[in-house]
Amino acid sequence: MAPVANPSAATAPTPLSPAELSYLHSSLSLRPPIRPDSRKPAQFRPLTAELDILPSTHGSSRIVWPDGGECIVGIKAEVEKATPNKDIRSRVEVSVEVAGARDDDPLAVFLASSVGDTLGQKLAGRLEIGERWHWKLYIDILLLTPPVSHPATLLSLAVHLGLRCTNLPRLVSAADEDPLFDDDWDAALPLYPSNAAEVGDVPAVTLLVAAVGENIFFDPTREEMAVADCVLAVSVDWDGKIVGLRTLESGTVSEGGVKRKVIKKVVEQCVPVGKEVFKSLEGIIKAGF
Amino acid sequence: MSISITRPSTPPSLAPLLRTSINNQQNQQQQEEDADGDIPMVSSAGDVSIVTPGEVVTSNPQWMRGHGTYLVEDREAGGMNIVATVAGTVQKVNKLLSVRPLKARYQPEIGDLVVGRIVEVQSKRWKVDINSAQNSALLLSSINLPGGILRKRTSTDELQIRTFFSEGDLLVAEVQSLFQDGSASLHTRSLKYGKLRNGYLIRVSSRGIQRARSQVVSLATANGGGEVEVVLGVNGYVWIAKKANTAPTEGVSITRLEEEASEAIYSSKNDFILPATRREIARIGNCIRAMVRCNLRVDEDMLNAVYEVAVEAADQGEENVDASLEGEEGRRVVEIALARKMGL
Repeated sequence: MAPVANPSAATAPTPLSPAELSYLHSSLSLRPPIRPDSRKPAQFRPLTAELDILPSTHGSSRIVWPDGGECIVGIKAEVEKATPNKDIRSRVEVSVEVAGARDDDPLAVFLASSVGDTLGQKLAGRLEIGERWHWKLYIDILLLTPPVSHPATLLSLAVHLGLRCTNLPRLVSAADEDPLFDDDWDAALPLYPSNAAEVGDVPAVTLLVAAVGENIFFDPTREEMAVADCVLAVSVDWDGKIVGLRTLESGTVSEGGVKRKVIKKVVEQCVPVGKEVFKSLEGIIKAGF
Repeated sequence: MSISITRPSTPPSLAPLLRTSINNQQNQQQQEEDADGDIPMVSSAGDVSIVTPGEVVTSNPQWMRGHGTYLVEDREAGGMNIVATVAGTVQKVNKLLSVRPLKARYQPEIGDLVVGRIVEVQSKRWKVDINSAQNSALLLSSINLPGGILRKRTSTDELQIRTFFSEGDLLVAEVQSLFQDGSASLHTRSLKYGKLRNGYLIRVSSRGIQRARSQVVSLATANGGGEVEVVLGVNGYVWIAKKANTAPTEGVSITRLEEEASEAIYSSKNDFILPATRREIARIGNCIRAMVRCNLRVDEDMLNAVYEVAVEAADQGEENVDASLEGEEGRRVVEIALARKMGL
């Protein structure tokens, strides 16, 4: 039997040595900072993305990080009878599976809830079919390799791409009738029309930001996160609006706590960086169609 | 450009080089196979065929099963099939058939220089992660104790075992012996070995590191970075650090010096490191990662060549050149270095 791929790697990584921590912390708090892979503070690691890879789903995507982190998203839709007085956010069900981890792994639970919250009501509003019915969307996310760095960014970009290439069957019946759909798959309508980006109505993305001293880093690696004063997961909308902010557990090097000024700087910087991320995503979607 | 998302590309252009060398090997094997009347391992297109776990390699009873295979009874035809347990290429030595995995963990061998991280402290030994299937052991009796090398280990040493190494600490060691189950026993009984500080660890596949005469490379870096020492652990852990000053203080006897040196061995405090040095340490790390990504073995010559090209590229490059050497830029740098090396 093949040995199980180091189960502790996903849950409790071995701590870094004191010498490493101090080296990283002082490198990152220099002005200008030096990241261990010479990236600029706002530079992401290059990503590889593919769209529509799973034939039996309504939309799917795959994103790979150069360090081996890989995420596959499949989206399936089902017709459901509308229940009055029910939170419309329940129309989207997100499940995250981390390879090698348990279902109730805190990481998987956190990721699933953060994806669900980010998409929120905006996506749920798109799923109406007439008056009495609506679509129910199942977003299944598989993290293939135990993540070397925190996968929140990877996941949110993959979900964004998956949703953008999701097609739903075209409705042929009237709004008040029981729904009837076009058999022709070629006639299916995209969940997000191709001009959705111009209108600005696309799913938000989550960016991971780490702060060390006064310096701010996007797309931090695990080592960078280990020495950070605080790590924030910031969800940004197309128009630069911050729709969510979560703190992740932070490092152990400094005494802890983070200044309000730094948080403000994080939020300010997320706007232009988010714009650039959306531009990049748009490029891959345009090429995919 | 702060982010780049690309479509999956074709494998790096260094891959064809690799494939031809495998092809030659395989063609030779094919001729042998034809003579033996065995199934061909190379498809008609000439590509190397790779066996996957569970795939029947052969049903011919003349072969003995080697590593990466197992025997299973063939219900329909009778006899035994040799089935692969790993994904890899088939290797044949005389009548022994084994499957060489494409991707495998590091397998320790006696005499290997490895970089490891302490994962567990026990009463008389440490457990060290060296990127192999099992953690290796470092016995209290196989380290240098401060205060002279030839001292007896006392129960006091046992009690203060954490003052030498504690969880998370990095060390460079040599594989002293192997246990029955293939796990290694390490030793650090030389002034070359011991705790690591003043630097940064990168992890690559153990196949990316070339076993060489010396695994410790000293690089004179550009841009005022000074001397940087690179410990290429055979297990794929690479330690890149500022080279320690070894200017001996005057008027100290040999024994006294030794004593001082061994006390410094277990310090976890970094020296002062210039920002220029830190920048070059990061660059060397990027070079090593780029080389491994391009299926190139890392050794002293090649590392020097790639580093040189990377420095030049950064000097003449505009603002938007990707210093992290991920993706295209890294491949370009490695290709230029390789071309120079071959005298093109």
